[in-house]
Amino acid sequence: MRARETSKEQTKQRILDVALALFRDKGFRQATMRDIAEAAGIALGTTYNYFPTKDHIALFFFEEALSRVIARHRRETPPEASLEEWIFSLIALELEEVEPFRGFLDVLVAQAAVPGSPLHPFSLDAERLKSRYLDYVAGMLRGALDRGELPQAGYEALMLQAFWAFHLGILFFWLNDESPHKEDTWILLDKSLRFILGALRQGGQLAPEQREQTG
Amino acid sequence: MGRTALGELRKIGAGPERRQAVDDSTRDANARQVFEVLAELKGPALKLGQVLSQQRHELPEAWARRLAALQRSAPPMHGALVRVQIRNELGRPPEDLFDAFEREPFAAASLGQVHRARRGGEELAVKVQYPGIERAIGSDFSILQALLRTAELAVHRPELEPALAEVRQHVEQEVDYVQEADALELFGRHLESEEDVRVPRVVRELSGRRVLTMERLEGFHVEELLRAGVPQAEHDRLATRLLDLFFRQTMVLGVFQADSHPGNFLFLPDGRIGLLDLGCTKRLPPDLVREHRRLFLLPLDDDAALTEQFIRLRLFDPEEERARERLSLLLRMQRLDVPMYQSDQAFDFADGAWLRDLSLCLRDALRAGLTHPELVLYMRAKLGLYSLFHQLGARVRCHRVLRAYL
Repeated sequence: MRARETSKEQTKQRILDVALALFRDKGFRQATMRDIAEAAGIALGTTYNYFPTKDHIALFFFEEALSRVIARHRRETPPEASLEEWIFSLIALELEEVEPFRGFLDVLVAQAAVPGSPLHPFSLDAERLKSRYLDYVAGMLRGALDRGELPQAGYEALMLQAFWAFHLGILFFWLNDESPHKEDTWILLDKSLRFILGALRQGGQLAPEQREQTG
Repeated sequence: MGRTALGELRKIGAGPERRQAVDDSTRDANARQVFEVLAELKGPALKLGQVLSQQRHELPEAWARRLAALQRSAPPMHGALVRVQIRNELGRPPEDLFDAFEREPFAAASLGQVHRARRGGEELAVKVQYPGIERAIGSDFSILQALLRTAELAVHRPELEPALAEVRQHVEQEVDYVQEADALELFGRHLESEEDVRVPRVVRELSGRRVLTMERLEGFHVEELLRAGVPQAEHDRLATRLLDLFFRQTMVLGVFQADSHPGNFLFLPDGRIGLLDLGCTKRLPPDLVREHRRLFLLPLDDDAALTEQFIRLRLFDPEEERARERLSLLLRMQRLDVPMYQSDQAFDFADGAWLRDLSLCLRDALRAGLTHPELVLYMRAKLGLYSLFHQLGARVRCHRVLRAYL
């Protein structure tokens, strides 16, 4: 690796380390790019070269988290896992990796709930994160459809959007979950996945036997 | 509807039961309403189902059918959820704590499931609980108790309320695996000198309220033992030993394994007996043990002395409703159960009619309002043990076993 690149990487890492500490200590809203630049010992202008906005720093953490989540998920989920387990495991890993960044998770979540102008630099980048995530899920869905585990109903795109909404719902729930070890989140995730996937397998119709089984 | 208690007792531990459907629309509607709530309980509902299923013949068929369905439909935890539970309870995921951990469970447990694992060359069993059960117990049991009071059932089956209260107590004990770890260590210490009995060693540092890690014993459950075609003398020996262990617990230790489900006993290849599942134990106060021991000694034709003893044991209060009925049932039970302890002859537990009589007696006594914080459990545990002996077709010199403890 060339010297210049190494030092660029080092600077970037320093900004990130300092930012994370500041986000924790001061709070995301209170911390400014100026604070970050100062703490990192870098000119403000230079800092902007690496990250145009504070939100972009937050986004970077989530992008790295997503990379880790996908890598771990690929590694740890057995090929014979049920759809319930596949999705549960993905969301569980996601919550695990995102835990340190809870304090500024609302950057992503708020962005998702009320998307800013699509031309806003942050919106585009956040969209990229979402796409990367949904691409991974789409791969699984396609496999399930091909195997006949889910009925072909021509709604793959809809399912992805539904999945995104579902996962945001879980994220919101988890953020506010005060139960011990967040067990309410795990129960919600487990039950809702069984119910939804069970319903999907039946083509949206719950057979009477299934009605008694769920819940 | 001609199934006998004997047939039902035979089926304990043998797998999902089938039921004949009996149309009773009103009871079905009540049952449905209660089962909406039961469906949310998962673990406690299963436990309720198990306990009540030991008195299955008491329940309207509609209830029994739905309870059975409920038991079958409980979803097992997949690997990802198990991982979450372990990580939450022990602070780290299974791959960090064990050298090997099987993703699929090898056994179900009430409230959870059991996985094989290995650590430092030791074969382990890791019991993991479904999340949220303890918190569900408080509110849901209150709801269920309230529902039972209003449901038509409570009018005809008044013993269901105390049964529910009792189950609630059990579940509160069972939901805390730390209590089970304590019980395992207590029994382990107490039975250390018994070379033919194995109590699994607890791995405390990998155990908590929702996860219990212990030494894994390999052996047969009773069904497999029967299939193995072991000689009758061996069945007799095992049953004798189990009866001895029971008295050891009740008369000496003062704590007994209250859930005598046949699945709780493991028959090891070297002839030893493994004790599993001490999730439900009951303490017997010493004075109770003393007074109860006397029941084995009193002559069976001395109604007055027996009655007085029942009163002393608080099994019977002449002032209460249906007291006479209960007394006659207690006396009948006494005369069915105790003779084998007063004669030196071996008792043949293969006698199905006797077992049915005894169990119906207990059922009727419960229906007539028999309650006792410890002794009802004791009777049930003993009956469970007898039914295991029946499965083994064992002949036991009960008097000789008991003699050591009198």
